[in-house]
Amino acid sequence: MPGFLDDIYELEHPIDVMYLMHKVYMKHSESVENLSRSTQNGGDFELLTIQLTEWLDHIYYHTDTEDLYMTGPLKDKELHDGRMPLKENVIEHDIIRDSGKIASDSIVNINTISPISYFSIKDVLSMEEKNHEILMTKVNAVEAELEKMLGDSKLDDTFRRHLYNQIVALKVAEYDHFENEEAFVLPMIKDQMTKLQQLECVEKLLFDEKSENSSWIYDFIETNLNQREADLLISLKEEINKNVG
Amino acid sequence: MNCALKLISKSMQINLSFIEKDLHAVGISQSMNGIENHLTKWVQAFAAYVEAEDTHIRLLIDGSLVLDSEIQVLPDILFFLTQIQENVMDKVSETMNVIYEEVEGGILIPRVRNHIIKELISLSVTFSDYSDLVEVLTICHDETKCNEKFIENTSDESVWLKTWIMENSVT
Repeated sequence: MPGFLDDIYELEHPIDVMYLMHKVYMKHSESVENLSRSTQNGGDFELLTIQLTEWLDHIYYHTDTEDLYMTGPLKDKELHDGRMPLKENVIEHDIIRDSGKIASDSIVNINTISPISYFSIKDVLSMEEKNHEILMTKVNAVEAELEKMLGDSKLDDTFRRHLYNQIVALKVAEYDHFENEEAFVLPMIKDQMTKLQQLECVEKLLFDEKSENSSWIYDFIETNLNQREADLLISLKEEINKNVG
Repeated sequence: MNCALKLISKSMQINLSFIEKDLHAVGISQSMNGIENHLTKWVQAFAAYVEAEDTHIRLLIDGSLVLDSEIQVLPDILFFLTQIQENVMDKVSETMNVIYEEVEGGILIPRVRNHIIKELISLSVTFSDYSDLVEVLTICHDETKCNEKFIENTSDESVWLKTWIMENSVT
């Protein structure tokens, strides 16, 4: 099994396209992570927003399509330690979606929710104050006072570092998932799916038939591979065109 | 000159980024024991920071922390500060737990390194939240005296702290 940064020399099975996809996605997430880190010292926030959105578009499509066309038709098999790979896979997809949503909500709500919310003041004060009405009065007062004391600049720093934290969490969840999927789910696909079924599944993973530009995933993957790996993808595309109606 | 509180805070941030860099060198020029050792020293510096903080809180030293809200929020803010201080230590524990539970035989695989880095970043974010609050709630009236008290005297603690700050003063 190749690592995420290793060169890939062949696709023994159509589903091995996942190695290419995972490699490109991990490279992209690392780039977003680095951008986010740099925005803490004045980096390009607009570019970060664009790249994060692109990452989320891909990862949401990827996980949704896997649930439907890849793991959906498979039969789960208990591992020696009691884990069920397909069940775990679905859970990991949910973790990725949740982590992605946290980061995208931060961006979407940038102008409407104050970064003071990252301090979770309500959670802390609720440890002492049980009366909801009094609690909320206190929370609002403390938030207002701290917002004033911290000022815009410090609050902007707060936002940027929390977003970075969220992006790192998403990347780590994605890494763990890809690694588990390659180790435990891909062998099951090779066992349980015929070559034609794999090609059908790969077609769904690479081409979004509901989109006006159905090749947005394929194009992104191909553009971000080295030439030899891109050639592997082109050959696979030809095979899909030949065999999948 | 910066007061001791600011110097310690800056070094604590820098040290966390050094630990993250060191994690990438485990198995080459660093060991997991070295990482644990760095974190233990960070906790030691944090204890010094908290001690320095206590002597800088505005209300406690001269009553100058004036809040113009109609509602008296100061006790709540101080309670909140104490809790976020505890959160910092919780984050240290969570980082240590990942190290103890996931690192096997001192060998650091990429997945576990990611987990440790994730915890370190979370610790760094929590500490920054905390130190930002401390910064706006504190005041230093005499930086020379402050430095003498915490880092410029001959006690073992001060000598250690001064050395540690110097080691962690450049990014």
